[in-house]
Amino acid sequence: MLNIIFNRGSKDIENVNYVFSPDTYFKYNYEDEWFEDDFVKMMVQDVDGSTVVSAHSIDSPVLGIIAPERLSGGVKALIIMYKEPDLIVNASACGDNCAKWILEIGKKQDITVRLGYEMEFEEPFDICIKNSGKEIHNYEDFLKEFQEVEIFEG
Amino acid sequence: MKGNVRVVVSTKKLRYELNLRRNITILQGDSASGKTTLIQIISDYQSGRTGPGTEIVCDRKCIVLAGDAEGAIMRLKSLTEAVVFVDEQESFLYSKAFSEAVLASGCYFVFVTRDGLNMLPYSVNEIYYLKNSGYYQNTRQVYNSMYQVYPEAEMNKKIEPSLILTEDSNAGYEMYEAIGQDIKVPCDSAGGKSNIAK
Repeated sequence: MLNIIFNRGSKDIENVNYVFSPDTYFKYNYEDEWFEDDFVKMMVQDVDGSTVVSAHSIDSPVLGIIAPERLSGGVKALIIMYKEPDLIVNASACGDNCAKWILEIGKKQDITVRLGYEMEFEEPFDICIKNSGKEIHNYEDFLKEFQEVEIFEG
Repeated sequence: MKGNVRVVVSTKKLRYELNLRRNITILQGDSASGKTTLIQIISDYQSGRTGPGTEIVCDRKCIVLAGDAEGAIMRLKSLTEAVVFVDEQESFLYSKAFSEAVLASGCYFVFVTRDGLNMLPYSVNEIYYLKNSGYYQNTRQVYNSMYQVYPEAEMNKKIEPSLILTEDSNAGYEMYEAIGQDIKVPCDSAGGKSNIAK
């Protein structure tokens, strides 16, 4: 199940497992074997349009052959969510083009992410909003929950 | 700060063209659209690491603020009329102290963030995403330029309110009440943020 903590940028999540900057976390913690996983390869292909050649070599249509550290912040966040599900990843590093993958990861395993904007999730979905404890399945309810946090906690 | 500021950032493979119309510009949008790469190029260029082939064309100095909050704020206070870029992974971007320094500054700012910056006033029209438009003229540079997230021309047609509710009961309410009378939409005041949901 995908769990979301709505949170405005000015507030920190007080949890030792919180990853504010997925980009920096990835740089120091990624494992070579992550890139042998077909699901990781699919995410890299879909979000960045890049092909995983090996753990040290990604073929980018814009930048040429790059190291994994130069993947987009969004795909790095997705890989951390998938490979280290105990961490609470800052999903604001992900654009709307990552939304379907966050839902997919949430179907595979329990994850909790922090989100500070109205990411466009495609219905139907199963998301638990941790702020209220409510489980939601459509985008209208998602926006209502987001607005309530904006109004009462923002 | 006055008028538009044009910023062109180019390498052998990439070209970015930004037109900054107000003191605060927000860049957001899909992952892998080149936002962080833009910031990295500017940072490397200003540090003298890029060598030939990388160029920034702007009539103001372009600066990237990064690192610890105290250092970033001190540096910002020393800048006048620069164009200051900050990426979303800088935690000071969301701090009150940094917002206050921005408000007191005469610089232009480009913030890369999807989260709202509630402590800063910026126009909804100045929220952009970057879009790759293929190769620039007859070069091998991938060309990226800014597009409004909420296009001015289209938003008027999309927003058809049946009621306007304002958070405050003073100047903001009075302005929207006058607008509401013009467009024949009732306007009411919630009398405070916490009453909006009631």
